[in-house]
Amino acid sequence: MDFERSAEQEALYQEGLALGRGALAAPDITARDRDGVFSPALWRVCAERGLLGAVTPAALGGRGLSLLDACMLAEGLGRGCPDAGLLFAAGAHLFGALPALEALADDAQRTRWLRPLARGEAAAALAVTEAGSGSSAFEMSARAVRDGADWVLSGEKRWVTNAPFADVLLIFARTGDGSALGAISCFVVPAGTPGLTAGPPEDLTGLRTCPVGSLTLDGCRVPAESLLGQEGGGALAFLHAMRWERVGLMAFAVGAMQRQLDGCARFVRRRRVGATPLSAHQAVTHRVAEMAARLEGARALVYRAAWRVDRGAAGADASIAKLATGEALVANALDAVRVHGAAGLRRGEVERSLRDAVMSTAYSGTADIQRALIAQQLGLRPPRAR
Amino acid sequence: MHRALEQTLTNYIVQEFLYGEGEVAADTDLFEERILDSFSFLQLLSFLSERWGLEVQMRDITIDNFRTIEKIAAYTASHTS
Repeated sequence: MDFERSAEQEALYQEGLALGRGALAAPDITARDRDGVFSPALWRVCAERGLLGAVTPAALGGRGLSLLDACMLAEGLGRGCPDAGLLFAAGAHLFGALPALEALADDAQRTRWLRPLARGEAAAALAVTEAGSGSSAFEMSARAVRDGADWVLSGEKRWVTNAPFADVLLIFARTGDGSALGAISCFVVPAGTPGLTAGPPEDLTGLRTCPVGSLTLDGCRVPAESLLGQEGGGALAFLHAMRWERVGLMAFAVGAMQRQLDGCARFVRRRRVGATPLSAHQAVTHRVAEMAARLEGARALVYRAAWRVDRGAAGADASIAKLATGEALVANALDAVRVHGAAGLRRGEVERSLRDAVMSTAYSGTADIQRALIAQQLGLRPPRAR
Repeated sequence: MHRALEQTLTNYIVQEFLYGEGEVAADTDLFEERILDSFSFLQLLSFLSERWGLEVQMRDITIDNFRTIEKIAAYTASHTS
């Protein structure tokens, strides 16, 4: 067991940090956050620097990083880049949509869809959630019905990250009845397909620079080769993708917490209240110490979960990392506001970080869903119907 | 035909998913009986890989091949040396 980054992992972390502080420094973030504006220019930077295909195999146009190594890159970015919405959009693409596509696609589908997505020439979105099913993702009502050689998709998806600008949609729909296993299938559908309409970006509390929207499927006809994997094989691919996404997104969050801790420690060292330095107040310094402890716990959990996912280990590691890191992210963001006092409530990084952090309680499976998955892994399930 | 394999699978499923309480027959539908769900199914695939070296690509998974212990045993036997 070795808790230190390897030289290669340190280089990835420094690469992400330098990119976040350089080409992704986003000096206009305060205004774009206020107005809810995504930056296509910064997305192109992510593409050009190889972020969007970080975990896709090199033979398929990506960088072929393990999840653990990609987490080093993501953590550096999370610390350096203030545009958490941009990183969230990138994370949904590279840690969510692309692993699902890679898991299910055959060679022809990989060539057609995965290569351009890994190179960042196109953007992807994973469409699962619906208004009626919410966090019980598999209780979806969207349907895909065979019609000759085609499939016809109908239904409505909500809260789809990247939907307003994505070029390629991975859409999950029922192709059968009964339990999710064997009844939910995944389809790859290009934006602009007749019958597929993307709604405008939602006006959300945080991560406002990431477009999130709905998708309407109104008799959307797609050819047979749009089905990814076997009919009914979508649920497993979704679970697989969620494990990658939860860990990858939380690596960005760990970086963001480090950025926040840096800022709080700097503020406490410099700030004086009357004649007394803020650092003389234990009530303040101990709060910052608590932030550091939460951060280190989250970092360790994210690294371990990534290491386990890379080994194909079954278990609730990703959910544990997501739950603990998300809760730590919110707690630290709130403490950062307390440390800064009223100044932390002025529009800017401290208050924005709190709004961004709160989003983690909902995305990629709510905190309560992570608790349910962990409990399920512990064997705490409803009694079986007899 | 794959009795030893079926027995190992039965023991594993009873211990891991029924916590040693209850029985499961070789032809019990593991999904309909809610013994397996999507989460525990991934755990089962991991076990099949560790125990018998069965590597199943996600794109090739047909759920019906894993619906009962006898089907899992037959599939595992035919896809491993």
